Amino acid sequence: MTAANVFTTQPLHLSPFITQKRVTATFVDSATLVQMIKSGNEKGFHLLYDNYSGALFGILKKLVHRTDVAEDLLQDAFVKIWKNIDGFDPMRGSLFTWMLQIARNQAIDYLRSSCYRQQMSHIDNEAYAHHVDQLSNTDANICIVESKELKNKANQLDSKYAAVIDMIFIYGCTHEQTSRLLNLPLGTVKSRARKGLSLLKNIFSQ
Amino acid sequence: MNTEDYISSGILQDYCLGLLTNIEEGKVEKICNEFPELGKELQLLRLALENYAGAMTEERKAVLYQDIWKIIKTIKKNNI
Repeated sequence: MTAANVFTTQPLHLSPFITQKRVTATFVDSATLVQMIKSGNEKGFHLLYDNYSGALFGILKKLVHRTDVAEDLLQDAFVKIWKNIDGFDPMRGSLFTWMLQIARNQAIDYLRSSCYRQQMSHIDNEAYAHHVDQLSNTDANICIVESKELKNKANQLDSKYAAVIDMIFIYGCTHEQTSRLLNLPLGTVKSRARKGLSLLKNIFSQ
Repeated sequence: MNTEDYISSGILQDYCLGLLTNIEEGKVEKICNEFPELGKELQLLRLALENYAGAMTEERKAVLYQDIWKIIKTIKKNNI
């Protein structure tokens, strides 16, 4: 095997979230999944949705704080993913990271929109919280994957590292923005990001 | 190239977190292709981030899938 093969064609993981115990039995690696979607296969799209929509939805909710908006954004993101699947380059990162970038951009566009600002100026905090609670009471997707084990592991990461990882990976902030928002020196942000990710690697490798 | 030094430099973490420039990213990818142990380390870091994101999984409406697929079918039909 050549060195190039190790990085480009021999993924260590084939499933999106390796430590998850799956309720659904179907398993397809991401390269096959991408091919299925490119050929317009509904089963491929169903698997893509089944594997990744829960995590993307959770992240979108974290970003926009509203279930109904997160649902709309998830819908827009998946349509965009479908339309732009030819733009996915496995050399530039994993399928999930590419999808996350699309979903996050949808959320950022929404947060920058006048629609969002208008909503926020009219909704007082109490009413907003009540609204969010009501919207959260949705039907469960019976196909959802088990993520309790992942949650338990993620919670092992010290909050000081998690805060920095969240700002950069989930919210898409730069080192400098993270430094300003968390009121931390730039050097501390850089070292916590690196250390935090190394700790996550150890936690999820256990 | 001392791969241990490269790993401990933190550049692989910066790559995974999307904090490098395009040129820097290209250099990391080239090096990871040349040194399998670095490629392996990079994949473990990526996987850790994906699992971290996976921990945020939330339940969503079952009908949402049907809504999305309906839109995609329309796009396919109309070749938009």
